[in-house]
Amino acid sequence: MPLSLSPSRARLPYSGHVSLELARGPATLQIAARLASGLPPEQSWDAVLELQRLLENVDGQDAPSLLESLWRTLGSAPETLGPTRGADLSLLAQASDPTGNWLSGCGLSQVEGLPQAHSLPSALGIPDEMPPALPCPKQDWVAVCGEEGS
Amino acid sequence: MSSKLASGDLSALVLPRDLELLRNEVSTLLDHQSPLDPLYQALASEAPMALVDLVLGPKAATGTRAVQAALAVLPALVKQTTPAGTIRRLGDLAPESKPEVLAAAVKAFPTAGWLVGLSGKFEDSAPGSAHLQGTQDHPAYPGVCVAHAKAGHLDALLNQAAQGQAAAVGALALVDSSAATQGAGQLLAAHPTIRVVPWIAAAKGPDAQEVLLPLMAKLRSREAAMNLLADLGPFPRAQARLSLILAGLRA
Repeated sequence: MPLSLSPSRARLPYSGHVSLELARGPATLQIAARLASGLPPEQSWDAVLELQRLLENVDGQDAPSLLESLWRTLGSAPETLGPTRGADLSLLAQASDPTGNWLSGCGLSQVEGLPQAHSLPSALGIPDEMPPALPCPKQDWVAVCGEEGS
Repeated sequence: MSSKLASGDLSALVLPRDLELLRNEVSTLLDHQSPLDPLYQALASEAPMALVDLVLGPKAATGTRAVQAALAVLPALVKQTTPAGTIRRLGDLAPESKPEVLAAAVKAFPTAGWLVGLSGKFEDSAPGSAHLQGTQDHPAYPGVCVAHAKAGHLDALLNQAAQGQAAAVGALALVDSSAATQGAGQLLAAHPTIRVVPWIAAAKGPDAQEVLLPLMAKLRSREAAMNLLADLGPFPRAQARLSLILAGLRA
């Protein structure tokens, strides 16, 4: 997988995890996310399906506009994202178009291989402001989810 | 004194001096098919250490009846000894009663981790079955499934899956994708509306399609296929394959 979030130490290590890919014209958006992971698997998966449905609304002509749309869309309807309303969301997104590649995310304590000068928000949940979009090489990225309360 | 002891009257008893007398009394009661319960109940409340020596010690009575009577005072025994040691000893004293001993242990200590290893020793066929069956309605059941999966008790988990327990499918997916596919197929054959994808996804994450793709060939009803399809959005390959199959499945 081009993007992945490290598994948790829970009995079911990928509860609430999902990987998605959207294509909009020449641009693509890859997403790895985790939400509602502390709930029973059926409820976690319902939140995952809601996230997927919500992300169908993401649109844009190029990579930066896809990322803008992603964060705007997430912020528009947090109430759909399960009982936690997206408050425990960790998300890593990679947007690509012919001009470049950008990485963004939230709720991540670490992104392996990311230059030290760059960082993404570690607090879980949909951020109030759009997180940074970091220019980066197109590659496989692995991130570690932030912890509750971080 | 003998009839007094048999009825649970310990007033004439001096312990530990009379332990041998107690052993003889138990032996006599067993020989005469007389109930041990009054004596054991009295010892449980008045002389629990003597009960432990009598029931679990080196000279403990053996056989089904002796162990059945011991199980009736299990709470008193485990207050004085370790639960796991007590159960193992009772199993040794009446190997033919191991299923009964294990069932009592599951009822008394449903979430005890040592039950997983003990299941392997007490159940010749499909180890883990009694523990899994006895905890189906317990909140810790998904964790019990995972513990048995890690112990390799796959046959018991497959039986649970066939009974409609999706948690068993999730646990199988943690250790053996092929067994998880088999379990999910059996579950959906008997319980077509139960959701398995959330459990498989929670166990396998990005590798969930290792279980889901071969599962398609095992679907026999349109109802099961529709149920599965509703959860497959994030797995486009599996979703596409199932959409193809769906056209050929009868309602």
